[in-house]
Amino acid sequence: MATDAHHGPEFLAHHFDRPVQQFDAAKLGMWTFLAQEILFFSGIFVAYLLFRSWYPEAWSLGSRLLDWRMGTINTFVLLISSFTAAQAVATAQRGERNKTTVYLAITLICAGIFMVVKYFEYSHKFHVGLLPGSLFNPTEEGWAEIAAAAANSHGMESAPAGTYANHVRSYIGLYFMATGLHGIHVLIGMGVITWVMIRNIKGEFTSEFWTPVDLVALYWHLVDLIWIYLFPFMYLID
Amino acid sequence: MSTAAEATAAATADQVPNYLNHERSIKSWLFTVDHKRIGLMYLVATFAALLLGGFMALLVRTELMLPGKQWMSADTYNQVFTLHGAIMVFLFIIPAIPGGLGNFFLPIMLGAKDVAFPKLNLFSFYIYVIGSVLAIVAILSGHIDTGWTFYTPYSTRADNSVLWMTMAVFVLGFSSILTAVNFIATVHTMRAPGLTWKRLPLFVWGAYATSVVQILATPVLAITVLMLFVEKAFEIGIFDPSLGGDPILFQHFFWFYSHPAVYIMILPGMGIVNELIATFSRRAIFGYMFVAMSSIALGLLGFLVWGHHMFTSGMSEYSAMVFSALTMLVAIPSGVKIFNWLATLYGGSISLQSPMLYALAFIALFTIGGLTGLPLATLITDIHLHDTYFVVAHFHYVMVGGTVIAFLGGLHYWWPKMTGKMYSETLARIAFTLVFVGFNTTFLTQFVLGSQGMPRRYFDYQDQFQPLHMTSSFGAYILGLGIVLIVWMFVRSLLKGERAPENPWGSAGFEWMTTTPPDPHNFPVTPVIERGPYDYDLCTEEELYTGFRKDLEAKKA
Amino acid sequence: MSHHDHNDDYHVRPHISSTKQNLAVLFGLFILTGLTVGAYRIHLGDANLAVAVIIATVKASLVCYYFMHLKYEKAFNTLFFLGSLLFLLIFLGYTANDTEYRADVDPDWGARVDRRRGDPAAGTGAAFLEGEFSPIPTLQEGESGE
Repeated sequence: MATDAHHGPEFLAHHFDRPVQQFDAAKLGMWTFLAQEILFFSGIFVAYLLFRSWYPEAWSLGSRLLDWRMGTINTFVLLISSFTAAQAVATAQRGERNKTTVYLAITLICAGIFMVVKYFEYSHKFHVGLLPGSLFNPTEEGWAEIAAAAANSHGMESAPAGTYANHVRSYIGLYFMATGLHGIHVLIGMGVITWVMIRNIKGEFTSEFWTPVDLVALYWHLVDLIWIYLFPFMYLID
Repeated sequence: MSTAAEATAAATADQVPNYLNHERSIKSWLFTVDHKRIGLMYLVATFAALLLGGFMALLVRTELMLPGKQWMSADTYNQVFTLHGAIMVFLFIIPAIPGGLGNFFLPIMLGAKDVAFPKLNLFSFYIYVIGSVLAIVAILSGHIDTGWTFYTPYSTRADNSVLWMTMAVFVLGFSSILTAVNFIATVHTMRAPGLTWKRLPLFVWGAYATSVVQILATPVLAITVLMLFVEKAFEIGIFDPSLGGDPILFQHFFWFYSHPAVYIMILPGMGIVNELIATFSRRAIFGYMFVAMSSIALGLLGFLVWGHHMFTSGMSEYSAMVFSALTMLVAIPSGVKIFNWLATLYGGSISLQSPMLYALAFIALFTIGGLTGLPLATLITDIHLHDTYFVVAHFHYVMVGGTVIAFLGGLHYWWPKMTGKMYSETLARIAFTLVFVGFNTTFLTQFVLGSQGMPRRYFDYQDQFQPLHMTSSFGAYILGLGIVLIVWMFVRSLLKGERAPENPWGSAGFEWMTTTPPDPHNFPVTPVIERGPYDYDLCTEEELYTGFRKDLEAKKA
Repeated sequence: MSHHDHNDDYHVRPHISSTKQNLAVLFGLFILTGLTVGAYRIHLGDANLAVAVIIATVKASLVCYYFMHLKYEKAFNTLFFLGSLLFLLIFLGYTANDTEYRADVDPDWGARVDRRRGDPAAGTGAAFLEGEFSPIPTLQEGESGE
């Protein structure tokens, strides 16, 4: 049915006339999707900024419950993965299939390291009971961390007891929401990168057709972009 | 032998392959990537939602005929009006025109073989189905009485079925986002040779503007309901005031999406009205570029005015003043459209067939709906009218008098092309009269009720409002009867309607250039577009009266 | 293979970034990350947020411009993607226009109060004000803040 009026390279879908048309459609579709991703995360960022302006002391305290060293390591890891994703696209465009596989694999490994570091951070929070909302039930160690953070943070010593501090719970909630959603994006990205890598190993991509590599790299860069903002917002509050 | 075979083929028109008969198995429908079949499935699903939501509306109106408890408890009443709103907004109005008619006709109007991402299109239909199932689970699993807006702290204190409903809304949101991604890519890259932006049918412009708004607004709804979900499930203290959250912040989040959503609902409807008015006046749309750009302008302005839903909610007065002033700006692109339609009608060769009746009704009802928005946008009058039946009447004039009327008009207009069957014009006119009279009886009275101070969503009311409530309820029955008659008319058309010609209305639109029902690939060969969709002066007589572009068929042979 | 920044009518002719350029960008991103951590360590106080946002935006621009090829992208794709940021700013700005003017935080009370009337501001829950809600009781007993 589909082949009667259709001629062109094998990768060209039946409803397109020209490869460049297919490529432009895919790129535009991906960019519009990334635009919606930005607005998807906008809710988190807007809530974060407004609460930070209302309750700066609580946010300062909350930030000190996180380990900025872990966040920094993860930032470097994600930046490297972004670089390798860009390299995967460039090598795919040149038709260097094996190099593309290697770069995609490094990207995948970096994503894995990111999630492992995240796992250690989360499991510590679970261990000491510093959890969002109704799960908030710190152990003795957890209380000690809060006390240390309060002593270390700005404004808590002058604020009346039990007021701003109540909002720390909101901070922990937003922290888990923001990094959790970002983490889900990382996991989805790992899945798609694996899929693209397998297709690449099977030899589906050539210097004529590498659109899926390009698209997954764009998605991966967006995950990186979100983290570039989340890192100082969550970990580095003075 | 061969001449005999040709004669047989000519005699039974069903032998010409079209998208309905080239494959017939159930599987070929469920796993189709053909935008026309997906569009039809959307139409069936959304129309079912319309009937369900309409049934809820009739339940509400029946309860409200007399003051006090009649036959349902106040608690049930709260659930029924919540379901009416949620079903109508999320399951019907938002997906109906883009998902149904848009999916079917946007690629055909562009001369394309399909949308840019056919599999994604099917995927978004199934996401819609999953969202609908979740909504049904929510309805059955408990009682949701928050209103369709899920305001905190109502929603954080309601039972856990709210969790299901927010998940449903989250999932449905992604269905419309994916459709929008598809439409934008399709409009940009799939236009037939010669189809420039200045020749784009105005329905396509409307669907395009809608898609842009969906990309920019719907994700905010998704994150809002997700945050509400987390707030309700884990009590993290963002929206719930008893946990240190801010309920007005929820309203900001919600209306940042839900005001632009009003334009998601109305813009495709306006697009349909353009097509109807041009076809049945046999004239090019007056001020084509202004009408096209006013869709974009409406879509973008829609992002600046959401605060007018919150004037009495405790928002800062300063912010309320800014929102009030900006809201007035919406009148400009809306006015551009109304005046250009009137200018198109002026001097046109008007034929009052049933789709045109809907288009004219749209202009009248949308104008009333728009003008009654002004007292609501003005701060000082809004204090009196806020949360009264005046608001209910206003948005039903825009949503039902606007979108639903346009949807019905488009359904009548394109029915012959979609199904290959004509419907009974007499029945269509009777049904239109019932819908028009019923609608106005229902909602004109509600303007009066509201200005006299009847609050919306109330279960009980003072005796003085009883005659008007009774009138409104009778209007609702007439409206319901009209909708039932339309369903019966269409079913009858499917069963024993006459075979539709290629171009029953004599339209210059591109979608009429192809066979009826359309070829599985829309056009046997990619058409070359040499004129605009409303250039009646450039059309041949044959094109307008006897059918489609014969040259396209000839090339195939 | 020769590099073209434009496509002909049929084939896709992409711009291909060199490894050298990508490495340079990565190096720049590393330095900026160091800078943002450094800015945090020297305690800038009120400027903390502004500095963090500026550095993050420079980093994000580098990623967009070079890694995501926005430099060579079609104008509409760039417009749409960057335009979405405008709508994020509308969302933030208009909401802040309410929340920042609606009420102040009362330092003794810890809750937001209406600026002129001195009453609890709209959106501040009664239970919260009356102190019935206090998830961190030990802080109230003065365990911290030495």
